[in-house]
Amino acid sequence: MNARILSIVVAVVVVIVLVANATFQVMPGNRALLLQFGRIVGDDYGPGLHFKIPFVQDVEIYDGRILTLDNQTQTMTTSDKQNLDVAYYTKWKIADPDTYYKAAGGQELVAMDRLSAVLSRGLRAEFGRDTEDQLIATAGHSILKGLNEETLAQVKALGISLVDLRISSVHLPSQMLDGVYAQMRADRETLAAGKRAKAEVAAATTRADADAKAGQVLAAAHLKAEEIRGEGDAQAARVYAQAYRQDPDFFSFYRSLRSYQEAVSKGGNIVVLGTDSPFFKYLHGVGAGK
Amino acid sequence: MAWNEPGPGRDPWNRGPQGGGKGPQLPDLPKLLKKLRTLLGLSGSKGRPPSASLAGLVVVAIVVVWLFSGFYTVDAQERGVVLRFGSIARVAQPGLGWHLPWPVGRVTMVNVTKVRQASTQDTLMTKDHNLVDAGMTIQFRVSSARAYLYHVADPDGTLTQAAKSALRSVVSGYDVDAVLGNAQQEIGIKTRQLLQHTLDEYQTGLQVTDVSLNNVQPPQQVQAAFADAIKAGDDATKLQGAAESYAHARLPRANAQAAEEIAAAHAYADRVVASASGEKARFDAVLAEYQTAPKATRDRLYADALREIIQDNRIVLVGSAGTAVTLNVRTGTQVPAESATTLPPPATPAVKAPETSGDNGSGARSRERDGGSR
Repeated sequence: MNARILSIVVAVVVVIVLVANATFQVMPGNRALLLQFGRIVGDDYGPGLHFKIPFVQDVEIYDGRILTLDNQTQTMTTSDKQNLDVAYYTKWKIADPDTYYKAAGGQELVAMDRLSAVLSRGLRAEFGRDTEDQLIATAGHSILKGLNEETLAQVKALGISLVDLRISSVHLPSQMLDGVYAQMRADRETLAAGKRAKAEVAAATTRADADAKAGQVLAAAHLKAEEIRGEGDAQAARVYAQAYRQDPDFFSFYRSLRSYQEAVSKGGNIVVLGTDSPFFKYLHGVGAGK
Repeated sequence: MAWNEPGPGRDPWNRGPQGGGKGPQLPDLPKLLKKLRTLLGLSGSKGRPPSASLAGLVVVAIVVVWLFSGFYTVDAQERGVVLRFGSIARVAQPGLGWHLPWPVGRVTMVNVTKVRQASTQDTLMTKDHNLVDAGMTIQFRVSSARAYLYHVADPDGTLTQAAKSALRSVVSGYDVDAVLGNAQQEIGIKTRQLLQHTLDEYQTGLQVTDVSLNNVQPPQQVQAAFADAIKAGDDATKLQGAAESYAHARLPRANAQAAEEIAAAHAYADRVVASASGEKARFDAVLAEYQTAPKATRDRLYADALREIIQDNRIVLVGSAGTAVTLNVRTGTQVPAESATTLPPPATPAVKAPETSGDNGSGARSRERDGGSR
């Protein structure tokens, strides 16, 4: 009985192994290549279960999704002789597993290395045709169309198809950076100075306008005040004239006396008089009337 | 064994081709058990060797465990991508499911509702050749589990890459003031659109829900200059404000001054006229007196005036012969001629004091006069 059990078990195991080796699964997103003693015998397998000759035939599975070649930086010289560090990334996938295997031995790193070299040559030529501004303007867009025929043929020879190629950044060398910063500072300073100057002019104008208006008001008031004073003076003069008209001689006598009194009323003055002054006329005697 | 031979569309329970998208039925366990029991000789048929039963039991156990490994649960947030023989069988909805166990089938869970976040930080060039440092936050989720798993390698990384590129492109269309100021929302929207377009081109199976800029600043090397430009704006506003408040106050102030001046003029006019009227009234009274007795009135007036002038002031009489003498009427002193040619200093206390002019009107004054008598 034990032998029988054993043989059943062995048979089962053998069958399982055979079955396992006679089939292979291709996951979605993968590409597969069937090799027989190193020779390619099949390369077009969609996702699912497929059959092969066990042990005689081997299958190679590749990641067939869109892959990324990144961290590529090139120092390019543009047509206007600017040196720029350009970083770009490439989206690629396996176009033809057959060619891919033959070109890179099916190893992804090797393939990327070769692709990187091909693209950098192609891009250097392409970027060399642009000016600095043109180059910066292409950032964020696909520059796939900019690759020339030769580069595309070389890519195809790797069994690869390019999905996208974009500049991820354009970095200026440090001397250029300094220049850019200096320009930025200068622009800002001009802007600041302009703002301040404009504001000062506007403020001065506002003040001047206000002063002008105020001046007008004051001038008008001054004029009016003078008129009023003049009116007052005229009125006073009229009053005096009225008085005067009543008796001109007496009026002038009286006024003169009054003004002498007022002039020296506070005392502390020195009055210098000649002894023959009419002021002292009456000192000699009250005789001489007027 | 014939009954579990696999084949496309056939499962071990011999049910034939399944409809697409429907889960396989759970195995009909009672019937299965009965078959097994018959096979193992446990249901009362001719006795089999015990070791065979044991081996059979072990095999059955292994098979059962293997089958049970095909159960899976899909969380509410997730979808399960089920593969069978390497091709996609279905995308399973939340709940309990079963697939053919490994190596035939497998399931990968993908979270399709959770919104994840990616951030970038970069120095970008603006349209007017200025540089700005900008950070960006992208929120995204998986929209297609199938594409997410099997179309692009490293879809998350791809998103970040494409986002940086998109932002660069969008920012290069704006001037630095706009980027630092009020264009950030617009830039976010445009970047999101460009990014989504790119991701759809690659078929990443990702959906961008939001792109927003944060921490947008001029590079550190020029921050001082930028800050000063802003300050200049503030200074300008302050200057304007000061000028305006000056202007606002100016006119009222001028009006007040004007009113004051006119009021003063009025006051002056009134004063002058009142003074004149007062004078006239006084004159009228004296005139009336004069008209009754002219000479007497004149003399009286004259004498009064004279007295008033003399009593409070120093009088220097200059004689016709050139001599002079100073009279101090109040104290009755007389300074001799020689010393009197020099005029004494004015405002000496002895001469002043109008308060003491209460002495006027008295005839009790000694008056001396020298020389030059006419």
